[in-house]
Amino acid sequence: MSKTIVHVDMDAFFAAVEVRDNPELKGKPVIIGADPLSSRGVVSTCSYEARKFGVHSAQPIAQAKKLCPHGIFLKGDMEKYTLVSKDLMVIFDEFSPLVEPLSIDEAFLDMTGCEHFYKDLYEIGVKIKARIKDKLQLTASVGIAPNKFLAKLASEKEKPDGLTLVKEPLAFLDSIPLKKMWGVGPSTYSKLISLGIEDIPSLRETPLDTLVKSLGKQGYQLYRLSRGIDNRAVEAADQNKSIGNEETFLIDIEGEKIHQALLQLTDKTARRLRKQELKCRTVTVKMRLPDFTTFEKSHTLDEATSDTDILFEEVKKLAKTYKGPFRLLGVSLSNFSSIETLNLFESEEEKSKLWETIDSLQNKGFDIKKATILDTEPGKHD
Amino acid sequence: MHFQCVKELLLSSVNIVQKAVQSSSSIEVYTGIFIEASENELTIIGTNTDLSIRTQVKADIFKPGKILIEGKLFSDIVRKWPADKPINILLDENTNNVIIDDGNKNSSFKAEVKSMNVDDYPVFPDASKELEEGLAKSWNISQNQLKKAINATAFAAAKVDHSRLYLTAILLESKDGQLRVVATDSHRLGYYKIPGLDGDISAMITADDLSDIAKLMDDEDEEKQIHLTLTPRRAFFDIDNTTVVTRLIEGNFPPYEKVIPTQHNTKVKVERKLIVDAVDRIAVMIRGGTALAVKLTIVDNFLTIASGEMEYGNAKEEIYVEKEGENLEIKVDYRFLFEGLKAFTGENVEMLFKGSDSAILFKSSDMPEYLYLMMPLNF
Repeated sequence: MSKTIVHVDMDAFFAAVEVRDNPELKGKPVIIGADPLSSRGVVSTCSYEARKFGVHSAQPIAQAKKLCPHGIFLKGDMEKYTLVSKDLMVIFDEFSPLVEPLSIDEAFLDMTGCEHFYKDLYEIGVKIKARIKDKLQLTASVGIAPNKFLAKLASEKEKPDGLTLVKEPLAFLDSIPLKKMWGVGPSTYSKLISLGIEDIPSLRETPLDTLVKSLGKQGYQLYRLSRGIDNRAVEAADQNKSIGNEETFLIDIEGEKIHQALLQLTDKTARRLRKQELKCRTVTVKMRLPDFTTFEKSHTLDEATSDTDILFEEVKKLAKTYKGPFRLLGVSLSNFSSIETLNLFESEEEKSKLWETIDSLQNKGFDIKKATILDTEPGKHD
Repeated sequence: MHFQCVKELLLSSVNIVQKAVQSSSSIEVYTGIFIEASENELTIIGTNTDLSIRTQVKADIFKPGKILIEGKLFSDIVRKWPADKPINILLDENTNNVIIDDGNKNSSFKAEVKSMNVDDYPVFPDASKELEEGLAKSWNISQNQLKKAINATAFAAAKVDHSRLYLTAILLESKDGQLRVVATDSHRLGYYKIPGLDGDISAMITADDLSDIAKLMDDEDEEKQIHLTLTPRRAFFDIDNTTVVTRLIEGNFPPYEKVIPTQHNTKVKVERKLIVDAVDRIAVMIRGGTALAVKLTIVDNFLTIASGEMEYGNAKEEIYVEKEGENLEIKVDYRFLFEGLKAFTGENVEMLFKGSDSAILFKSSDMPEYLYLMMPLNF
């Protein structure tokens, strides 16, 4: 059965909230981010007026200042945006029982089975946009498609204040520049170019073998995506009893690569945990051998945590006695709790939020990782 | 190289250095145990980047020399060796193999193990140069006292926190003629004062290493001392014939003096064994559950310790206390309570409360050198 997936993405969210609350900013280039005099900070969002000058998010703030010297630079008010975001999520919940927030200002809504409430699929988007506009005085761009991948591309298509319904996935994909495809970053892009693939139609014509040979597992993913295939389910945040990630390896892995793979899985899973403001007590590692024998080991911690380091210590302990090779590895976290002992020291209260800080910097486009995540030397923590 | 040693002696030496021997490492020599035979004793060393341990043991030396042997393998062989037979170890210089048997021509057991490259083994850290240059200092501290202090504080340190290593440490800090020994995981704090020590000690060492070092200390003999040397990067502990060198932890220890409460609204004095046993019993209900909370209710002269409502039931226990001040209800992590109470010795313990969301201070006239502090839960 075909699904109806809606992706809603707010337009220049932080900047739009500022303009809404201060009409004097209307029509002006508003840039939210670091202090423009600092040499290190970046732009987190900017209004469409600022984008005309070439300013964009994740750009060094000093460069933005050069491009748009008369721009209005604001530090931003995360607390305010978080409150608006909460209202936004409430609106999403009115439309669908299955909402997966992706960040502070975007989400996937699984509207499968709700279609008959509306005249047509297009009307779903119209209604969502109208409700947001009415309640929050903000505009959103909406994409409607049979899967997440296409819905996200569709919401970008007509930004800002856009609404795109994907009726013909292949025709729609062909109108999208290759660079915009999910998973196509600069390095993948140049690899594709070197294979003579310059657009999505030519990607679709490329045999699977060729793609896998030069891009590995990602090649397989691109092969599927270029055909508009994406089976990922919309996962509601609050319904989860556990959060997990697993990876099937193209080539069975062993030795040091196990350590590295587990670290990445733990990091990714822990980040999802923190995004939902949860802490967990149970850590589970799933291992699948080349002969498909699959087993799980888990351990329950005394104290709930969302600290990647602590979680990874447990993951390592659980996997320690198994040498591999492995066909699949997975890490999942469960037994959520928010009860914890208060802090004795105010200063430590702040530092205990280190991971949240790292996450939020990453979300703003900083390429920041803790040294322990970069550490690939096995046995160093033994 | 050739020597013979009594099994028990060799085993206890190997156990001492084992902590510093890594089970796997990209640097191979860190997985080895180094043994040097000279005159009439053996020097046995385990080392890695953070921790080095050297100990000495008497043995019959037939030919001096040195070997580096895979640590896990060697300690397993020694552990399983029959108690009534000596261990005879010989380096075959032609093959560079270490031959292990009982020294008899017709020894029933014989193992040949490759020796790793001895020349790659790092030099054992030495503070003498830094002492000469005035960059390092030494002190003598009572083994008995330091052992008590470590045992009363180490458990309060965080087990893992790579971003805040100082929370996994014990702070040794001299002030007002006392050595303060402090550890905190930021939710609770153990604080022990050793009197009669002047100087300017200030060092953070992992609680894990210090707990192991404490095991080498004598808790009976009041006279025995350890010799502590601090260089800018390392701490050297000389205990009898063993030297342990640990890397100091850098960073700022949290401002522990500031958080020790000076006021209270409720004070409870309780027989220590009574409350320890009560918490232990209530904990039976909690251990399988998802929350580790116990609720303490103080009304008049009774303290009630209650589990939360678990899927399978609940439990509570009431004990008699001497109380001054207001009635109170407070929720805590039972382990913090249990471990803190267990750290005290003596008959009674006093608990001082300010309110249901403030720190609880534990002290005892039976152990005036010690304080324990813990925060309640957030709900």
